[in-house]
Amino acid sequence: MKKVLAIAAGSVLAACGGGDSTEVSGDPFCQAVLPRVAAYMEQARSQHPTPSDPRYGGTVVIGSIGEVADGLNSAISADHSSTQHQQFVGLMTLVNYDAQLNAQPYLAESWEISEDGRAITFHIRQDVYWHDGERTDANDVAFTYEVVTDPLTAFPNAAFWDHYVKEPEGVEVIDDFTVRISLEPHSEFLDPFRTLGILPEHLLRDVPHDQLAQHPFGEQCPVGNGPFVFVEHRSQDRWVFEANPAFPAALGGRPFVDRYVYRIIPEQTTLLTELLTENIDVYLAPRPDQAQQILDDPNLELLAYTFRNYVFVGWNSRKPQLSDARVRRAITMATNREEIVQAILLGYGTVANSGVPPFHWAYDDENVPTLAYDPTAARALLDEAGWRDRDGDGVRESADGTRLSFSIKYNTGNQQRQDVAEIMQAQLAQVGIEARPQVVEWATLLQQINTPTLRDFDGVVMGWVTEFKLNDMDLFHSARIDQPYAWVGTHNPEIDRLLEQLSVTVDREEAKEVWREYQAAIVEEQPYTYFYFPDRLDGVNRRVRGAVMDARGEWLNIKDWYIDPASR
Amino acid sequence: MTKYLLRRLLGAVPLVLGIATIVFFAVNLAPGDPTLYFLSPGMTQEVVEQTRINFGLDQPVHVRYARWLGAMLTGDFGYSFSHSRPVLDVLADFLPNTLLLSACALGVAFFFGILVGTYQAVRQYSLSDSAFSVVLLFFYSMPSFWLALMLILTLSLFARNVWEWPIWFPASGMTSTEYDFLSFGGQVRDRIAHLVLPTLSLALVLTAGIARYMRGSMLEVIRQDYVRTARAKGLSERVVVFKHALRNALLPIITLVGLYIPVLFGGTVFIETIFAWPGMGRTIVEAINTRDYPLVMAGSFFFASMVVAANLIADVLYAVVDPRIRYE
Amino acid sequence: MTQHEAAGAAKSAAKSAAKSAASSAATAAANSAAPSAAQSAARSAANSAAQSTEVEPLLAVRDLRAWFLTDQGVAKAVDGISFAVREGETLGIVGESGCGKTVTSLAILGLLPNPPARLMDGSSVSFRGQELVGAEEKRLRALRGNEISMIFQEPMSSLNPVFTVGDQIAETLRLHRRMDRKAAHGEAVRLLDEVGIPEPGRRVDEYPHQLSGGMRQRVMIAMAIACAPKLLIADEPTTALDVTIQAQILELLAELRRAHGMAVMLITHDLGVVAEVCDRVIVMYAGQIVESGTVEDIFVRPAHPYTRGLLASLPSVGTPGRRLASIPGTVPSPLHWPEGCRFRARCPSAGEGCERAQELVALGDGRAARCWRVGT
Repeated sequence: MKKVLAIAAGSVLAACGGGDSTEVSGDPFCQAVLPRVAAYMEQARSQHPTPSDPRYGGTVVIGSIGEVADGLNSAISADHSSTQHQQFVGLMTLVNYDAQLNAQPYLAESWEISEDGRAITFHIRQDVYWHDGERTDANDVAFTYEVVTDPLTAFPNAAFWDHYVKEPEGVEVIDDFTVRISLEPHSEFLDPFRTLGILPEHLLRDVPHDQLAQHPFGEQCPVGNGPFVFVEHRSQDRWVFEANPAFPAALGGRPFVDRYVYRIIPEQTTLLTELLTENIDVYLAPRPDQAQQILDDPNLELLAYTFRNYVFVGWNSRKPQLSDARVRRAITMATNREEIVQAILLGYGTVANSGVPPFHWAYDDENVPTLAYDPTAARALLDEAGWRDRDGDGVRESADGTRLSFSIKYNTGNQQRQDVAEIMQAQLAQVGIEARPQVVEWATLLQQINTPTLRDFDGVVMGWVTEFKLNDMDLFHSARIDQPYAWVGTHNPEIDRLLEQLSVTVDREEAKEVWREYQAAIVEEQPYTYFYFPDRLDGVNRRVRGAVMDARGEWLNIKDWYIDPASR
Repeated sequence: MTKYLLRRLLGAVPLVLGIATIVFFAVNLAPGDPTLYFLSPGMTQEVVEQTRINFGLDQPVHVRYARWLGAMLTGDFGYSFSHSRPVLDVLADFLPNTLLLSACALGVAFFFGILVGTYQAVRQYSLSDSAFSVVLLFFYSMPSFWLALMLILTLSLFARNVWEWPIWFPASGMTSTEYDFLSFGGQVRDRIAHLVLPTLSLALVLTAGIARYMRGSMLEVIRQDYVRTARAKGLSERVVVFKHALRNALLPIITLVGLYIPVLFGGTVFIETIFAWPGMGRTIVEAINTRDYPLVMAGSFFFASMVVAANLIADVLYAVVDPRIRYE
Repeated sequence: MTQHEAAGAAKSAAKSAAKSAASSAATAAANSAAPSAAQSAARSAANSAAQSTEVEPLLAVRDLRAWFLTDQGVAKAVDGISFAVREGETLGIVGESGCGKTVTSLAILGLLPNPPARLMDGSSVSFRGQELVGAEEKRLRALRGNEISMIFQEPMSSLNPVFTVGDQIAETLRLHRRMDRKAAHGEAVRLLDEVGIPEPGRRVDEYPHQLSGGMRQRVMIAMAIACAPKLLIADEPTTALDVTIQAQILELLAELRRAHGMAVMLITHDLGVVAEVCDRVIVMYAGQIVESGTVEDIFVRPAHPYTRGLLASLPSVGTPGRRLASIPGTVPSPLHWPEGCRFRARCPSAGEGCERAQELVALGDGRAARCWRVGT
């Protein structure tokens, strides 16, 4: 017995030293750069002392189930958490959006668009410094642009640059703080610069572009120029940042909080408990059924807002049962989506009819006809399309005997998607359609739907997160039909035309008209049965003041958050 | 004895290699392409192919196997796609955390299991014996993850918010966010506080099993002649039970050490997920989901090795405790 | 046999030339149902001498009743027995299995498991004037292994397999004599030598499984005499051993008895052993003493029908080919002792008057028998 205790004690002590999984040790790049950051920060702290405002100070802790998968390497990340940290925490983007989704200056002090609309000239701020002391300048912007437009890098959102002129001609450094980028006129052309964090050229210029994904800069020692400075990353455990004293005063100066910690907690019950016991200040994306407990707790508040992701069922139009748009429309009409929102999301969501979020300027639900829940009309439409129950088994067949029966796949680990599939099954049965929910492991499912030669599915429950620049080209344009994301195999000339027109229409008012037509065409085509835009929920401890969260992101104004001094 | 150990060690080598091979082929032949994990709209086929080449996934399976095996024998376990770090670094980060948790759970489980089982045997048929049996059966039947959630709710949430106890435990993590600013004593206390709930979740289930075995073993031993001899020598009941009887009763319990270690590793996945414990179990499961082949293979290899080692330790313990085995 | 065993056999054979016949245990006893006259005469003389003085006995058991309270009822394993052991005397307790002799020995040391066994009110066990029944556990523990020692039947399993024999012997010494580890170890070696184990310096650090049965019993004996007890209770010490080893062990016991002036209470079902070693004998049946007396009394002039039956059932070397006589029937269950004379169902002389419960009838000179026919 004593022996066992001794071993246990020994392990505790041993792990005391080795328990922190800081990823610094080992990589020469990190070992070289982090001391410079530390030195510069020392200096910055003495040059920019903290103002005596009582709002300064404290640590804010955000808890979430996901890791910041790609860290601050904006050249290779598509993950939501990562892009948010790049935009608002560690790096800086050229522009930010305001609440009306109009671009405002950030790293770019100002910009001009040429007469013909084929060039933007950005003027970079001159008072922004990388956390190791180097000044941020036009070379950084040019470098970042080159990297993300180079196919070798495999920038995940390559669609951003569809209408941009790729490197090397696409970008030109005019002087230290001026850079010109060439493009073809297209809609929402500034949106990519809202999300793209600018990378330090002086640190990464020698890295071959195809090796950027593996570079330790992203997750082990990111050096940024944003309001927060990277301190440490313990894999699967936490990220720690501290306030950057050298952040430009014109942009608000250093953040109020001294430290920001991001904790990864993979279990939602545990997250809720940590929020309720005030171990974390913010719980990102609680489940709808947890919302009530947050509302009930006087120390917490629940933020709820419509976000940019939507859930849908995609129909493989290559399959005979699903090739007729009338069948697809009937399916949607036979589904009570309003009820589903209430049941699955407890009301925290909005029914979707297309990929345009309700808060978006292109959104139009007044002038665009939608498919309301109407089983009778659904049955009529199915009859019209030639699907009748000829043998009385409750399931319709076509004239040649094909049964209107198909599977709806969804991935493991997502209760909401399972619910969608199962509710559809029940509701479609009412109109004589046999839908079989089928669960598939995530990576396997991705392979089944993404592989152009495979497309092994009938219906699939999926979700998309959109940017503010809406672009369904990869999803529905027939020219992309052999690319991974053309799951549904849409081949509709009208939609092709509208998509093309939308991509080049710059003026929003003009675009609104086209969007109206597009949304109507989508309803007509029904490549997806769109379900809902779930509300984004966040549980926030009331000691955190000034937090604004909306469709632009959760970390939107984290540099302006402050901790109530009384509770520190 | 050394010959015996050597023989066992040599026998373990092909065993572990065999497991590694099976793991390799199971993972690599499973459906699902790791590059798809990195897909986003706008990625062209060329880009996907490039990514695939970047990760070395364009070679046929047997070539990859040979290269992997060769590298492994020189200590190079490859590069983890999902962590963007060498696999060995990833293991070095997470393995000690899992070992810590497992060691604590085993320690607690064996300590209390042996104690309770002995007590039950000595007080057979008493009220406390029956009461313990009921309680132990309850814990034995509980899945560890359910137990974990219940412990969080009671000892973390309710204890603090509802019952307002002076002591309550953190629901997750290995250390608190303020850990770096604590004194040494504060840090030790912090670590222990974070260890309590996960250890209990794992240990309570094991304790029940061990107590049960211990009770049975002890009951048998207590009836033995040499126990009667010990009493006849005038030794106090405590010495009779804890010196003479216990050591003999421990023999079957040692078997459990070898058996429970793999059980423990399996159980840690749930516990690590629920308590946000940055451990190996969780890491491997995620690696499987993202088809991070090098990490899955290295992790499985290490787990298999540790199981083999655990059984080896059990064999050594046998010889230590029972002189009859030593001289065979 | 190993070399050591052979040597041991030679030694004891040399010592007991006279007893060579008796070495073949039961057959020897059958040969001459009485021990050699000279020996028994000497013993009887010693006993009478002891009897005639008014010395208080070392151990006095009065009306000992050890009952087991079980689910099936009360098993009256020992149902009112009284006897005494004097200093230096060897008392034999004889009986079939189930007659209560082992329970008696355990009861003396308070080693009966407390549920379900109970020593009923009125039982008395007095050792050197001290009452043991109802005494504090502490007091009893001080006596065990110290002034009263016990050795058991199965040497194979009576030693703890995970400790060396030296440790187990030393344990008693360190407990009762407060010796330190080194001194106890040295003394253990000496004891092993005394009990006739060759190479004691090596053997002392060996484990029980490395020793033969005979050697283990010697170790048990060494353990028992380590603190020079006044009384040694030996419960069937030779039953589990080879015939040749039996003789050696008995020889050893006799020697030690002489050397240390120890009283011995020898429990056995083997009359041959009794003849060998004992001064006085009590015969037990069905939880009661049915006859007591000197060895000569019992063997030459058995009074109780049961004793006679036991003697008659010994195989006789002298008359081969004769069918073994046996006592018909079996021992009754202690849960239901029969009414009246408990031996009645198996007694050849049963008849009128046997339906009453029998009292012990004193026959003078310390002899007694529980049968109303005795003395008539």
